Amino acid sequence: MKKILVVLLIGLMVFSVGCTNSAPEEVAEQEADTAVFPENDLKIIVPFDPGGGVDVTCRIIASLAPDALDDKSIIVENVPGGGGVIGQTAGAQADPDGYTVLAYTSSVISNPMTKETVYTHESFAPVAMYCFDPDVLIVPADSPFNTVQELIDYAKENEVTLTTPGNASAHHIAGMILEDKTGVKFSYIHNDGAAMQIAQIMGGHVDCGLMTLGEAVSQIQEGSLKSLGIMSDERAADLPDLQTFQEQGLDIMYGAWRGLAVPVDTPDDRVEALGEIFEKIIDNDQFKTKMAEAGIPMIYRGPEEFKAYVDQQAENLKIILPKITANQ
Amino acid sequence: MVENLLLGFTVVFQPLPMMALLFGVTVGLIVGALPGLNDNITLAVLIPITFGMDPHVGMMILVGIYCAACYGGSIPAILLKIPGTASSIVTTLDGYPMTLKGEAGKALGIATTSSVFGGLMSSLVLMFIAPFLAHQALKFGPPEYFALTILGISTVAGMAGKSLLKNLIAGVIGLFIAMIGMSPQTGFPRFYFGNNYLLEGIPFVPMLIGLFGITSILELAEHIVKEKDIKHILPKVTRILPTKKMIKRLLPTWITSGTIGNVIGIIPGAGMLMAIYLSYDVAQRRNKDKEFGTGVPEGIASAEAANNAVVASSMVPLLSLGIPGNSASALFIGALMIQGLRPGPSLFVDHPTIAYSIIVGFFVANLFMGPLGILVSKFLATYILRIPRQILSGVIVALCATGAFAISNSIFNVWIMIIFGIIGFVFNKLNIPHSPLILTMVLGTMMERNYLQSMVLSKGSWSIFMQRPLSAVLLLMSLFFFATPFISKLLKKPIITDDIDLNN
Repeated sequence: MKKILVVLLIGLMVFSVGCTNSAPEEVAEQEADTAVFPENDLKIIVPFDPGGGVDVTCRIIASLAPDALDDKSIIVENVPGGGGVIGQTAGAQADPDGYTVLAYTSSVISNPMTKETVYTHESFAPVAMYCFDPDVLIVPADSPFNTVQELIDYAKENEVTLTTPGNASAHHIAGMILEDKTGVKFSYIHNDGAAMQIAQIMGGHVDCGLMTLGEAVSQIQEGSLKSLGIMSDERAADLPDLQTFQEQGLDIMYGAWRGLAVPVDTPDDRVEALGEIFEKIIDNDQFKTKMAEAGIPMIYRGPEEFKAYVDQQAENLKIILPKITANQ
Repeated sequence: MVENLLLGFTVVFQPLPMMALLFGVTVGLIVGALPGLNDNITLAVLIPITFGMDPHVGMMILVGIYCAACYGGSIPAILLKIPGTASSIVTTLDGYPMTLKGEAGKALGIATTSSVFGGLMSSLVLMFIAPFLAHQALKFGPPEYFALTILGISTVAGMAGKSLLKNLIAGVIGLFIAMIGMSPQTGFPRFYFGNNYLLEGIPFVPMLIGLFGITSILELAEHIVKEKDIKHILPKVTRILPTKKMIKRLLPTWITSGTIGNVIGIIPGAGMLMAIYLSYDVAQRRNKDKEFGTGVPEGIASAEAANNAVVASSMVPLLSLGIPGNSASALFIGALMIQGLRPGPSLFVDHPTIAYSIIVGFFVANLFMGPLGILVSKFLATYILRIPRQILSGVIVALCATGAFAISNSIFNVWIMIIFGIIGFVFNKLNIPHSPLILTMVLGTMMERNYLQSMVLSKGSWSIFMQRPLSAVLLLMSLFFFATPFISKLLKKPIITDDIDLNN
């Protein structure tokens, strides 16, 4: 009796899980061989929690999909965990039929360098890049510093605390690049997201912080945070008075980039077809307005251009990242 | 101010937003009451549906769900000892014993009224003093957060339970679990056995679903095997609304717990669990004559008033500063951004109708929650307990597995659920309580992160915790909280020995 019950319970669990999982896979397998693409709905795997920047932008893309996809939809599936590793693994191991697309972001390069993963950024074929969100150096509103140089000069003599959204995150790396270029050393305070970073800077508990423009733009505009510089090649439309790092004599261009990619084994014609679909969506005026309203800077790069960009980023990271792992 | 609030009311009191709010509250109640599913999953699923809607309408659905899910969780907590959401863990402590005593209706009534009271209190805070409080919350830096987690953990000592030692054992195991995963400061992975799923630690919600849902099903299975027949506890649900006398009795508990909930809710990242444990502990101290954990109305009232007080107040930092206070309010950011709205003070200037309708929405949602909750409670209390337990438990296992899976679409979470179901079962056999483990596991991660951050700020000196007044006060309070159970035990002992001496 006992055994039967246990078997029953486990069976029930497996069954209930199986139900949710099997349907899309079967459909994808059936459709893999047909000539028309896509014949069915696409899926974007977001390797982060719902509500974050990557999730929101993917959902904006999904909301505009029916127009570009002949009334087929894009389903956004959140697979968070391990700082993106879980979802990125799922993306790398998905059937290479073009139906499963990964939200491909900066951490696809850094995760394999800092953690044990079964994939690298080369396990993916980039499809489209839609966003480059440059890093901004933020200080409290009443901070005595007004330029990057003032902060750096102070940091040469004193200890400066810098808040990041996590060890080995893109913004920690931005901090290391800044250290590399100026020769100063920051004391890092690592958090698990931008929310706590902003609270720490607003409360004056730390000297400065690095995050993307999109994460801090409202607070900078309202004056509750002050920004010293932006790591992009030109000034941001939302903050025309904010000088770039380049203008201040520091050649740093860095930030979070977001795009989409499929497993590298996906047939070329599928990658091409996806490239066209996403170009259509990203080029859509509705997409541009929605991104602008949400304060997320956008950009478009096609499959080849995007791949070249990612490879270049990976080269740069290979130089910086060993320094972080060395500190562990 | 008043004008703007009136503007909010005129928006909310239109037919469509009103219906959306009612829909949200209903969905929230049901989802909250289903073990395994919680407000975060529901919000995440429903946010895409709000895309195409007018933001005034879409936001009302989300507000309704967020408010009601937290209360809905108390229904299975009371009836089945399975908290529907994490926020009602503490409600099981006194809620289920009341059901066993045949007072399910009374317990549900207390939960409903307490929730509405806590919820209304925090929506008033959100309405009138949000910006001021949000700026006060910014005074919390790493040392203050560290001290706050110590205060939370210190309640382990006073937690209801027969053995102080067993409370501490459970607490230490929780702290150990909190160590699994990457170090918050160096990123070094600990105890993860090469499994990337463990890099961010043991996932909390699947663990909780296992500890409560699966554990109670296992106990039931054992029961069936042993006795072949389960006696039904069929309480008569006659009156749900508490009597005037009871309301008068609970009022002080509501006010203290509501205040604790509001304060904790406003501090970004402090969390609902901290609020319910703290207010339960305080309620216990204020009612020394009652034995908590045996079905004391104040026990339910303290937890339920506190958790609903966290709901609206967790929106305070979001709306005033653009910083989400917890994961549910972070989902609101996503929902607002997709509508092209940026949360933060500018929302009040650029889109006042949306900002104020959200605030008013929280108030009205709480008003809906009362009558609707009583209806649903009455229905569930009458019928759920009549369903043969064998069938009910099958449904619960299916719900639990679905919920655990849905959090991150991964089967790994289902394993975590099963493992912790077994751990919970073993704990029950050894009479070790679950609640200290849950509390220390949640706060352990936060404590470690903020300790390490404080050490960076102070260059490794512990004096930072005493130099900052707020953290010093919190630490002294925790010392008091931690020490009193020991001291009262020490004081009691001689009396007992005296008794024995006299008898001899």
